[in-house]
Amino acid sequence: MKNLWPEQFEESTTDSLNTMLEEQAKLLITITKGIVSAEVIELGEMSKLHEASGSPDFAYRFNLVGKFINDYKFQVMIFWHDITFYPAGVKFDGQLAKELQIDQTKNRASVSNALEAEVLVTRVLGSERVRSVVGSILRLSK
Amino acid sequence: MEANILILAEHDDKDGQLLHALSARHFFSVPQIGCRRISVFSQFEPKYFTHRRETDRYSIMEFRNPEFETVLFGLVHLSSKLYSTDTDQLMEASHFIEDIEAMEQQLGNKNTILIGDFNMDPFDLGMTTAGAIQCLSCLESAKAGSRKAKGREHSFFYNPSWNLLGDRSRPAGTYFYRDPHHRVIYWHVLDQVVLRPGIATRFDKQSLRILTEIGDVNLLDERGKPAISDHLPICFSIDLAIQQTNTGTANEELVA
Repeated sequence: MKNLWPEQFEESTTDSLNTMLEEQAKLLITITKGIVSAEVIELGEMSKLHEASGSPDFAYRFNLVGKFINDYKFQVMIFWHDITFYPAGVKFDGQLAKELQIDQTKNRASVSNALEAEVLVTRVLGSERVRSVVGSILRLSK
Repeated sequence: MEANILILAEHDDKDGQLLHALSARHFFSVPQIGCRRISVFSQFEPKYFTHRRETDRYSIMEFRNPEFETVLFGLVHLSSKLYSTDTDQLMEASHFIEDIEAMEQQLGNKNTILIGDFNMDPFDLGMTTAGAIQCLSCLESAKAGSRKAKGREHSFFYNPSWNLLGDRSRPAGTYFYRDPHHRVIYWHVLDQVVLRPGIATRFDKQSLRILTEIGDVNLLDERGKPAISDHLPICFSIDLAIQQTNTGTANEELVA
């Protein structure tokens, strides 16, 4: 039988939410002089099933971390997507959802491409809620 | 009975009136980081409380004081039934327990006490299911420590809050809701304390009660329903002293 595959495949150059947030996590360490960091952690199978309608291939939680206060962790949001990255679903911290005026019965939103994801991440990282938590971690880390 | 620790959900003390009043009784306010729904006031200095993991719905704190057993507190204000399905609540409880068990493993300590507004009754799925907050109403049974469900090991909690259901001692719950559905119970026990069986042996079962008055303030209206707040607080004693003396009793009181 002849080869039905294309002659070659190109690696996707689209940034996933995961990649974006991991890059931002590195920048946060620099901005806060190593006091506050962030992490992206993969969720377990049960959580994947619950957090999305259907069963996404990947689901993660995005935490702020206070290294000098016993690795304190604060969950900012959970997000999930299939192998194609987009659309991606996001479930926010309740206060953050309120501040960003996102559907507060479910605290959820979705982004359909990398550009929308970047806009959303910009809003999240610049939010009063995130500023407040990072500020508290900085204060308590002294 | 004078409380040593006071835990409040959805308390807004912007003007600092409560802290001012409590300061006179030598209470400190434990700083908040990410979970602003839950306020902790304590006669123990804030340095003894270490925030470990938080979402906006729960705060996991370690209490480490040389005079007392080290305890992991899981303080909760979980999602309301008005906005959540049973499955939502089950899964939220499951997330919470994932974090609790991760901390227990990291600290090598299962002296865990969960307190707050669970927004579930003791018999609800999230409070009884393996993988969520698997609670038993009987301490002797919970002392088995864990059980296997479909091949996976799940640790028990003991939930003394079952004893608050019903009208043997009034009121019949901490929250009253006249639900329009066919299946109703009206009085719910949403505000609970649950403990790992190891530390539950220090818990004074007789002390657990629903408060209907604080000082000269009546918390019920003329029909016997919650007034002032839509929830009634619970109060209990637990002896956390390392040495068996009469001086080391820490009483914790919750308003949710």
